[in-house]
Amino acid sequence: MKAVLALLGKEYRLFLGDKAAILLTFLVPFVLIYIFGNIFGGSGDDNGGIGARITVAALNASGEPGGDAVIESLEAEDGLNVLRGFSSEDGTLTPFTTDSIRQGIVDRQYNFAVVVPEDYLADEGIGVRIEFISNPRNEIESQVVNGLVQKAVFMKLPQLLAPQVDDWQEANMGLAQTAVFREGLAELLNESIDDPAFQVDPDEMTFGALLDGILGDDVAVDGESGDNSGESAGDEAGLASVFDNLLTIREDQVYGKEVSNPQLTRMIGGYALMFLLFATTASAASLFEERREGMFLRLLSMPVKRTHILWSKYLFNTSLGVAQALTLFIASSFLFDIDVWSHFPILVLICVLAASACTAFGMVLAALCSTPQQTQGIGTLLILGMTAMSGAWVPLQWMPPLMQAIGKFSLVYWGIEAFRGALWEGLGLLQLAWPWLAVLVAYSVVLLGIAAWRFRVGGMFR
Amino acid sequence: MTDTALAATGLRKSFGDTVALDGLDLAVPKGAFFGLLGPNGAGKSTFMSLVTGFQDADDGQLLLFGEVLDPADTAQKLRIGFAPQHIALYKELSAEANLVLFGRLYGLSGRGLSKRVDAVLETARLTDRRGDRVKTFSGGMMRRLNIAAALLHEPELLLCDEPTVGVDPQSRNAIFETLLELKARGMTVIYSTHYMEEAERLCDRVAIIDHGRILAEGDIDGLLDGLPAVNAVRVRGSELEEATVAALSQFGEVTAGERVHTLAPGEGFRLSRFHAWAEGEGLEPRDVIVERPTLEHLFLQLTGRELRE
Repeated sequence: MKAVLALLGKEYRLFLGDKAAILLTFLVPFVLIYIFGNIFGGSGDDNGGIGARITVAALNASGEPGGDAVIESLEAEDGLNVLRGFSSEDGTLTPFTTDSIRQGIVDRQYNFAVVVPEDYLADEGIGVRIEFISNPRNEIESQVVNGLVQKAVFMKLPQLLAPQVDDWQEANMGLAQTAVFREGLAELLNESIDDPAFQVDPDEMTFGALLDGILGDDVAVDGESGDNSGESAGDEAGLASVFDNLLTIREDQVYGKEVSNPQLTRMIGGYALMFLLFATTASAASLFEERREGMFLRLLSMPVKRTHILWSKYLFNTSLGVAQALTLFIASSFLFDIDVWSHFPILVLICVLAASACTAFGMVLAALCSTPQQTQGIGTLLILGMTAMSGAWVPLQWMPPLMQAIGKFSLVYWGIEAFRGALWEGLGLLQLAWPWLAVLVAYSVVLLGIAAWRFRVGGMFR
Repeated sequence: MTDTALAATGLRKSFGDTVALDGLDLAVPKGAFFGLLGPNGAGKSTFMSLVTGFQDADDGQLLLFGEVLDPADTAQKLRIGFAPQHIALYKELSAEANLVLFGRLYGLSGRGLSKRVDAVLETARLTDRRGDRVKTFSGGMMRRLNIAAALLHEPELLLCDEPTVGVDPQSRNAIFETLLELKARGMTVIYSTHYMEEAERLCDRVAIIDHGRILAEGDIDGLLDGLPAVNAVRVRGSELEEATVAALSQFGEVTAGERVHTLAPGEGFRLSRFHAWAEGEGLEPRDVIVERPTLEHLFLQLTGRELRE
């Protein structure tokens, strides 16, 4: 036991003597809980766990008040940021058209759009059609938006359906019978509801007027339409068919329709980036080993410059990273049916640029840190933080605005976007060149510049 | 044409508040086996790192064969071979693979490279282990290969920074023989060590360095000439008569030990007079041991006896 205590004491003495280790020990959990806490809804916003709003473009092409009501209902959702048009720099808003709202998704300005079309009323029976245009590049985000859109539409379904119900009634009962029905219903309601404020004019007794009287504009009626349709279906089979088309959401998936494994296709870029960062950072830490063994002293006594050493490290780590990333993608094509081969040339290019940026990141870490342990510790912290804030695990738009902004400074974000662009959206070189690939190149250049400067003035080659 | 292989003038280098070289002046003649002696932290390795271009001097000048040393000058680098204190080899690679790599970095290729690899493997007595990974070598073999790698390009000046640290006597001897062969071929060698017996065996000129300054420089005999001819005389015998011990003290300070009395010669000590006295006292010649001054005595006299951390 004495020996154990003595050795334990030694461990603590060594630990307490390493200020960087102490800092990392307490800093890492603090930073990680800050990042993940914010990401997973701990920011205090009461909007269904969503830190910020997901952007949804909306257009009421029908011009009907019911369509406006649906859009207003969408706008009332805390989790959504509803756009009604393209904003120019001077603040003027160009309202969407049916073409431009879709083009916005093609151009990746937003991923979701809701259109109440001109022909939003069902041709037969009672029902409405809503168009949902999407680029579901993130599974969780898509499901959330889908749910919120359906909720908003259902909330306003009675208003949407009101004119059609009245028309249907008149068409099927005849005007005279309808007038009798409405008058009788109005009197019955006026007698039954003991509220002086609630009085229905028998001459104006339409379904729409009734709804206005009952609901006003702001009353939520979750599931009311569904209940109605359910009762009707139970009472009379013939009538049930009237509600067959109660709500039709016409989905228009702009990108990824043909993708065979959507979930992994959307995520694999994030995994690849995280893997690359860990691999290249570990590899960059080998610089410390070479320094310890006096290798730099020998090499620099030869006709070899520091830049030669750094370039060789950079090229080796980058090529190794490319090989590893491609292995990951090719394996995923065999194991999980990811379509790698249709996009192979651009995928190789993204792998090269991503591996280059990740290698440069690892070299900056090695240049800034004084021990391999520091490099690994700080590297782990930064890699997990960057990956988490880049939208690799949860949608970027779920995060608080500050974290979204920070996330966009991460090379992981740009790498993931490039991989998704190629694999999910099938974009080519010209479409990905700006800004995604250009940003990855910029990362490599800037980080390598910092690393070269630090290696020149720092202790690695001293 | 200069006769000096390497000359340093007013060389200064600091690391923060620590002064590693404090205006060092040094001249290493061509063809010399030059010992750079100093305790740990004296500045030997820093001096080597400046010569190899690993670091830049804060001040002062280095001349290599009469030309100002420019770390960016490839031609100058090819005139220097450097065997660092660390075993700077890729241990996962074979001896031959290491040498081929370093040879290429020195600009060798093709048959010329193969010939040089064969030659230095022979010099290091490692030909039969050329294909083995360095990590399987003994410490002595690694040290020999460490030197061999510095000889690939046939440099005119070889810098050896404590090349025998941690090796067994046989390997040390093999290293000495290799280095003496190089000396015989006319190569200038700068040999940094704190083992004085190595310097005495190998070097024809030495410089004693401490606190970044040269304390003494010259050929070993010349340096020792500055010391008394006799460092100490030990008289063996457990039962020396009191009168004899008293008489012995006429030659200097006597310290009694177990079965031995040690005389530290005083001023005006003459060995011939002492021998005459010993003979008169009936002391057996085998019981009188005259200790000549060595480089170590000079070294300790110049650098002090305090422990260096």
